[in-house]
Amino acid sequence: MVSVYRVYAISMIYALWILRNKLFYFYLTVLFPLTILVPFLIIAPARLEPFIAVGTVILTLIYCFSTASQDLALDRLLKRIAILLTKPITPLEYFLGILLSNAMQTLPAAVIVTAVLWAARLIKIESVALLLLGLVAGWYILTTMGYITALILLSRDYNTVIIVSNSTAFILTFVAPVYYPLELLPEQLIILAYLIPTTHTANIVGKACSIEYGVPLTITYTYLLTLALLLTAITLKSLKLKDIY
Amino acid sequence: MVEIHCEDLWKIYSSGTVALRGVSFTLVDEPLVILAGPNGSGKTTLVRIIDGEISPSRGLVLINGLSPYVARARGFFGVMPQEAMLHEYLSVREYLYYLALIQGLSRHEAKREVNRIIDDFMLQEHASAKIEYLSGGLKRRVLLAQAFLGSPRVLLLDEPTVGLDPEMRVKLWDVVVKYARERGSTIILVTHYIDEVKDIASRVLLLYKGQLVFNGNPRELLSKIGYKYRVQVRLRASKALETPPLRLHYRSGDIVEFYVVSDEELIKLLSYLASARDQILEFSVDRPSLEESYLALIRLLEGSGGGQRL
Repeated sequence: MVSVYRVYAISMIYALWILRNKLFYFYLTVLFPLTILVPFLIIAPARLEPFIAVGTVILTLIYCFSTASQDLALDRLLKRIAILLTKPITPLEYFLGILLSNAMQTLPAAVIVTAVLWAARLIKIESVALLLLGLVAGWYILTTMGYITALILLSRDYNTVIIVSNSTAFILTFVAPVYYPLELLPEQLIILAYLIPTTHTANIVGKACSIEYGVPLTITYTYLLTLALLLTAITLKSLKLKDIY
Repeated sequence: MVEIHCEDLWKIYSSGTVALRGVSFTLVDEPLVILAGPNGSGKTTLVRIIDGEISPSRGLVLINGLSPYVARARGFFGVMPQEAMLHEYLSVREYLYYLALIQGLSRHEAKREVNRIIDDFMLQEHASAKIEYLSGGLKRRVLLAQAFLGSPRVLLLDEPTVGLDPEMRVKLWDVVVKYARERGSTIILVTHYIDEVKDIASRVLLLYKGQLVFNGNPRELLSKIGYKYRVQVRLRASKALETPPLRLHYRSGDIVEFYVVSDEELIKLLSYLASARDQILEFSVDRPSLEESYLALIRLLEGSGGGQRL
């Protein structure tokens, strides 16, 4: 039985850090995506500009992955998790709390970038539902991946978690065809790209913006649904909260 | 009623360190239990096994017939870990409020409970301050206060007053005693300040090298030291006591000490001291403290190689 209060409380404990740091939050939600978006738009050929805009939306979602893994690693490093572990929290409640916390931290950034896309006439109002689907799928899958990554690596030190987390974030951002279409990848990497979730998240968001990444939507939906179910099962069944300690 | 049953608990960490070696005891409605022992004796490991944070390598723990994991899920525990940091970007009130929600209280109950805890732990002046701006002692107080949220039935407090000034320690012990009396909970207290709580503790568990070497009430522990009074005598310069009625146990410079086992012996010794007053500058009589009893036991165990039950 999941307690909504517990999930809310856990999410607030984690989210208030960034929501309180207004300048940092502004940097993260507005400045950081723009610092990527603007230079890329300047140097990229015109035909890639829409991809760069979509890529920046996906980049804000990848923050979910980094936050989920690094929050847990930091909590363990600082022994903050010790208090929560003594409370009557189930692994599911803790996971949902982290998920909600990430939504509070990240989705505003995605919304702001989406507003920029709309202002740049890259997205139409009738495609918003598809865009939301892409954002929610990306948020859920990337947060869960970050959570599992942290749990698997928590027996190691904080630095290892950070290195793995940042390296994975790089793969999710740049090895996957997020800032460019699939066809630009070398043939050997195309199969690998199909296995990376951000490829498919970008594909959905791209479709909402009438941008063709070259990946069939049926493959994307099947892949994301399967992956979401798999990650959820791993999170709920294999991992105990006390493993964090 | 609160019953904590531990049976043949062993804990061997992956590093090979054996933290607990067959610890067994049962606590039934004990208001305040002191868990003592030298550093590395297994106290923190035992606390973490009781509240279900870690599993024993072997053995059984039952809290009112429930496994620690189930008991924790039902909100049985309030725990102050030995080492833990708070989420410092929250205010004291916010932090306690969210933890109260996590403990299972509704929003209304949580607000009321937080007000009570803030009053009990004398945190009113700092309730709106961010935790990061509090002194170390105040952070320690918040850490202790959070354990009491939701009136848990079992409180496990690991060195709760370390780093606090003596006045605040006394005040906090008062809060702990009040809580133990009013709520009918069992408080297991890991502390080195055992004399400060000797009058309120109902039981003492003494761990040594992972083994439970003493399980009894404070009076029984005091009796283990083997004497009832200690008489300290300061001699006048260049004087010596001649033919005292008791064996001299300790002498350092112009100070001699006698360890007296009965009231009769004390009367005899005091009569003797009165007759030898020209050799004596001053003297004092005191009872052995619980801490001294504890230290005497540890010395005895170290002398015997440890591990025997006392």
